[in-house]
Amino acid sequence: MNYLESYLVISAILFTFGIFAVITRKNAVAILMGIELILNSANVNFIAFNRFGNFNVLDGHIFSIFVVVLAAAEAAIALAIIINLFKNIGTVNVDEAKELQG
Amino acid sequence: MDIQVLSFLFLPIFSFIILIFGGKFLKHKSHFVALPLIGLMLLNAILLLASAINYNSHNHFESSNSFQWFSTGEFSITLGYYVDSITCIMLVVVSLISFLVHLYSIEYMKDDARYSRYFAFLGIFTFSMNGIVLSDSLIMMYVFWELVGLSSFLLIGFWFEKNRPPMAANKAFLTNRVGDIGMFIGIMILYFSIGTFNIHDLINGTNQMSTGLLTLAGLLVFMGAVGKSAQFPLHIWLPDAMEGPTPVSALIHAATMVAAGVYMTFRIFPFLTPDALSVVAIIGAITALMAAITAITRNDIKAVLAYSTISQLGYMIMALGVGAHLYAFFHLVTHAMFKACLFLCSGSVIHAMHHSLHHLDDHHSNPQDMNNMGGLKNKMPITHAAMLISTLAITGVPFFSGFLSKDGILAGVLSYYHTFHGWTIILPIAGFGAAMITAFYMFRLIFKTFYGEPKNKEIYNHIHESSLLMTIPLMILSVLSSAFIFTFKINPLKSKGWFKNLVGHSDHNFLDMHIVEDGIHHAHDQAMYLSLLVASLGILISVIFYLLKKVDIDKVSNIFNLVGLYNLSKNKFYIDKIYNTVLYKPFFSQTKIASFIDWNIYDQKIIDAWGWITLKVSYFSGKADYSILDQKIIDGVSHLTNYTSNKMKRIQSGVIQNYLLGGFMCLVIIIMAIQQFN
Repeated sequence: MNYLESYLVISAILFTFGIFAVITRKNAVAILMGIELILNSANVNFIAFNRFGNFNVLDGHIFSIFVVVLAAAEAAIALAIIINLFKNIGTVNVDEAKELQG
Repeated sequence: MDIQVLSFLFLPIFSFIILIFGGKFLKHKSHFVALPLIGLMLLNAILLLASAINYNSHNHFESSNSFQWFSTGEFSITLGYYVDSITCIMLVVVSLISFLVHLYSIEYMKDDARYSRYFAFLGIFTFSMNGIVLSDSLIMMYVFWELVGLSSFLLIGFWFEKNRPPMAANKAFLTNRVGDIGMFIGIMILYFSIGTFNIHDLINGTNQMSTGLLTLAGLLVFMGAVGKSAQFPLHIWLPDAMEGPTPVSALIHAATMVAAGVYMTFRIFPFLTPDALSVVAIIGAITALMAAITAITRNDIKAVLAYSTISQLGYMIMALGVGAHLYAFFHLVTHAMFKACLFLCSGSVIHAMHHSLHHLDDHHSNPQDMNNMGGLKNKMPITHAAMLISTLAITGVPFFSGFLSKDGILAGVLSYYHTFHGWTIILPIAGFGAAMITAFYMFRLIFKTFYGEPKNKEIYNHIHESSLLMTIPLMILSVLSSAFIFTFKINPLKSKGWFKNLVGHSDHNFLDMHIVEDGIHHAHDQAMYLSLLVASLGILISVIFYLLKKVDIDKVSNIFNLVGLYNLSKNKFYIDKIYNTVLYKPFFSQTKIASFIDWNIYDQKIIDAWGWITLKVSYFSGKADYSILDQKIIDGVSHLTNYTSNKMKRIQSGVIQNYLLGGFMCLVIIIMAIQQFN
């Protein structure tokens, strides 16, 4: 497993699963999980390019850590929104949250 | 000086402006505005005349000032005034008579509904008349010339609810226009030949013109005077103008406005060529004689005076023609006094008659008809005295002003005949003949009005002398009709005095005025005796006919009628009829043809055909617009939009994940495309 391509393939698979989850799931929690997958596929890419790109600095790692932090924050906010959503309309199905639709 | 002179324009125009805008509130108090303003003007005029008299003893009194009104290219018009002793005298005459007429009108017009408007019109008349008198250029004179025409129009037609006054006003205005057009052409010929409108510059510049053109220009300018001063053949408007209120007739149609023509001719006299002057003399002579003959058979008291005015104006014009222009001016002034007096007296009589008829509830009798009067002497002593004095003045009896001026004119005419002989014999014949006839018809008027038995006892019983407001102007004017006022010399037969000194001497571009004046001087005695003879003859005939009634008037008129003279006079020389057949009727048939072409052919056929074509074209164009453009193209576009958006709206599902999918697919496609092109 010392090739860049294998990492990129894994990243692409993760990204595709994430997109798939975001597009097909109705459950807001599942969509959130899909977003986490997309973010992590990006993280894999960062690390892989940093590793194989002959960089002497740790830019990729730092970016990944940022993304992880951001993902954590985002997850917290998103889960808060979902809880509120559940409290208000009794479900976490995004299709039901239509009250603001024109 | 400027302020003093300009006040002659500002005071009366103030009166006009205040009364025309404030008349609604002033109503029958309007004279409290007009009278002080005109009185102030009179005072001013007298002061100006006094300074002129004092000045004249050393030198020639003269003052002028002007400013540029406007200019376009090389053409510029200046406005300005020119004041000399002649102007001063004219200003006094205009102001005095205007003031007296204002005073008189307070009583005469007191029951009129449009009281304030009447005084306003008098104001604008006085303004424009002063403008004519003061102006230093022909163009400015022309402007005011039209303004007096306007005020004359307004005042003749003052009682516009009646039938005849508006017609008379139109007639006066249109007849005057004929003369004014000639005058304007004349002014323009002079301007383009000499390059100035200023009268003094014109007089100095006439040597730049050929004599023929100058004669033409002079006669054309004189045409204005023919119209305004009611000379043959444009005199027809003046008798009709008597439809206006009588004080107006006194002010405008006897004393001042009709004299404006004489005044203007007097001003341009120095550059009138001898040829032009002989035409002027002939026109004056014809007018003087013809109007006098016409006056004999008038029964309307004002008509007699109207024709008498025309006749006297003819005298003045004739005097200008023969070179006795100073006597023409003298006669203008004396005539203004006694003719204003005569008119105001006739107004007093008419006023009394009117009240008497009103009292009797008689609306059919004509208050101006002398056949309804008679014997008024005892009822109206002041009016009678004033009218007798002014009649003596117009007749040319010694001790009265008319004698001095008329004598000078007749002397001038006689001297002209002595110089030229030949055809010029008609001038003295007309002059002395008119003098005799004047004496005859004026005393006829006096006898028929004031003497004899009253024609109608009932009317007579209700006649009263007019109030002081009306009789005071009569008294003043009859005093001013005496010869003494104009000479301050005891000898009543000599006209030498302050007036002649003030008027002085003037030059002429073509004639040697010294020779002319010598001729007049030599002819003076002869003219005086002759004129005394004809005047007393006229009075005598009148006394026999109308006072003593020794002769049957019908028989005499029948004798005269054998040569058609009586009918000629009765029908006013058929001039109105001639104009009717020669001018109006052909003109009306022309206008009928023109109106036929205009209405039946042009309007009905061509214009209406255009309308039809337009209608059709617009019908089709409307159809094309609605059925094709509107229904098909515009509506088609909207249908298409509607259809497309109905289809397209399904895409907008509101499900975010669909959009996301679409967005992602687009991203994939874009990336693939980029891959492809790299």
